[in-house]
Amino acid sequence: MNNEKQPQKKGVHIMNEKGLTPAVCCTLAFLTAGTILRADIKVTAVKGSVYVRHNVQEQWVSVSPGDLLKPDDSMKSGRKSSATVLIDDKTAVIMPEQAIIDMADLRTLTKEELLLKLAMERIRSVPDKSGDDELSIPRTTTIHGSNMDQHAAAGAVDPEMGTMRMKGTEVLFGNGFYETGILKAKELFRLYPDLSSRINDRLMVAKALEALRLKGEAMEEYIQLGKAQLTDEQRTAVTKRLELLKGER
Amino acid sequence: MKLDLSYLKFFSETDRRGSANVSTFQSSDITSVEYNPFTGDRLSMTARVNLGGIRTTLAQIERVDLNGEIFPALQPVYAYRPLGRALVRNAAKKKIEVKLSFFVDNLMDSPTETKPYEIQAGDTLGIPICAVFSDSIRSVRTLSIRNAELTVAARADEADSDDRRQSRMLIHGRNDWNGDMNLLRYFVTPDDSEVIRFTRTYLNHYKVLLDTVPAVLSNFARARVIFNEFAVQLLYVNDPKKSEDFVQYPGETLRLRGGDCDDMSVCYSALLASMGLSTAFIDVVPPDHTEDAHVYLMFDTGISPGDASLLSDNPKRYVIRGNDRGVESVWVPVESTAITKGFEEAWKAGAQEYYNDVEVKLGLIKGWVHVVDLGTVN
Repeated sequence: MNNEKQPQKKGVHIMNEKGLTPAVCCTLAFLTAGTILRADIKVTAVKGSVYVRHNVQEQWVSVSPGDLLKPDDSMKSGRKSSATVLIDDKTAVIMPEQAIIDMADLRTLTKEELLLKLAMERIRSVPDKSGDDELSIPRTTTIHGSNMDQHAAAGAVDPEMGTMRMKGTEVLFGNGFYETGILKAKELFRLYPDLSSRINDRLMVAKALEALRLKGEAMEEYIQLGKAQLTDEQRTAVTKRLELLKGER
Repeated sequence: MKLDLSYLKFFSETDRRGSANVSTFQSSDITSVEYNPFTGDRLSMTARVNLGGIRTTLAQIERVDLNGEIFPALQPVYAYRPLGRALVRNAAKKKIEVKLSFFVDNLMDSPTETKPYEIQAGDTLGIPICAVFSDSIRSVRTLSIRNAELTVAARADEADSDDRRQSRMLIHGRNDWNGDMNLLRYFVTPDDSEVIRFTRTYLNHYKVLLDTVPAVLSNFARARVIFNEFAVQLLYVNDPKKSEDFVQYPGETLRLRGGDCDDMSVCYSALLASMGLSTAFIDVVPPDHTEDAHVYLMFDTGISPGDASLLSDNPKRYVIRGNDRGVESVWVPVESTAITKGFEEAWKAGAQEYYNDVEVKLGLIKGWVHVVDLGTVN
């Protein structure tokens, strides 16, 4: 397998998907220093059943020591299986059993890139209310009423996949890939709502935000956590962190 | 003062001295009391005196700044988005209220008038100019120059304007495009009869098959069927010039059975829209290789994120994003230039491009990938 070096991309100007104000974009773009996208990801050890899925393919294929992976690949480990990948011949990441990791997440983002991605997450569901001068394309088909079959496939999401992907996210946090870990965890909470009840994972997100010195965002996470069902120990920890963060502000 | 003098002379043989014998009068066929064979010759004189004073100019157009290029495809945009502005000066010694009119002969049915603007004595005001062009602008085939006439009137009760100016405008051909991705949407015409005929024909043709698809996947299945028919019938023409200035309307692409990347994206988008599916263009301008600028599209399957795995086990195959109803759903990227390979390959290619450009290279937040929504159903 070949692995092409990904050039560093410098933030030049920002045109967001929708909703970000130009001022915010410009400010953040100015601050954007660049992404460190790991170039070489090499599989150095494999135990048990470990698979790789290349880019947008559906199939998982076995992976062997010595294989080189690309940033658009994903890796999956089965029961009682594990693997080690070496990034840029420097950083070794151990993948535990029953986890899925996207290779693109084995990198650090700048704080500004993280903030922009988080902002996009927040505006993702905001209706696009364009100005009066923006016309919408007329439709010849208009659907009225509610779709009675829309919940026919509810529960189609494989919860095991969600759990495995979340375990992969824990690996990201454990190896200091806080930015991609935060983004991945938030994506999984949205995609698999049941995962939101995993308080320890949510605490992990809040702690990662703290570690990145994003106090406002961390406080927001702790405040949201405070509204969840917590054990006494967890509630004490959340309250303590919140007070500490308030004191630092 | 105006004086008019006129003389009316009748050359008929009838006695016009005002007298006639009874038998002649009775036998004549009189249909008009004013003019008949017995009407006498007339001399008339009219004198008109204007007692009013000299008409003063209350408002003057000092300068006109017009966007010199008009693109017919953007016809609806110009009705709302100003295509320039005129600087109008209050030449009176009191506050005035002015209206500006804009007119291009042959391309507009009547002048487009602005709302009234107040201007204080001695002040100048920039007034935005909008234009309601008639459908005839869509018949302009090639670049042409037209005169635009601007008039300003400060008196609501008078037809006469206070000042007028002429300005020249370049009117582009109907297929010309200025390269702005936000404006490419105006080439998407889902109401085009050829577009509707295409989708209805093949939806009917595959009705039995489509009826077997679960409702949650019906949008996706319809999009796939239409794409595959599109693939069989149309040819992607690689445009070596990367001409981003000429775009075919969907009806033209269907008639000509082919087009370049912009044409294919526009046409497939219109076909999907005609079935009530929301679409978005993905505009990619790689910063290091701007010559590789490219556009493809994605469409809203209407599938909720929780059901995404019904489409694919690989999350890189789809995009979860909100639509303008504030609902998150699963969108499928499609590379319309991979048309000859059919829907599956076009989907793979679109998903691969999106993942690499947006997730791996972060093009969206860095500003070299733009997603332009074309609106939604309802």
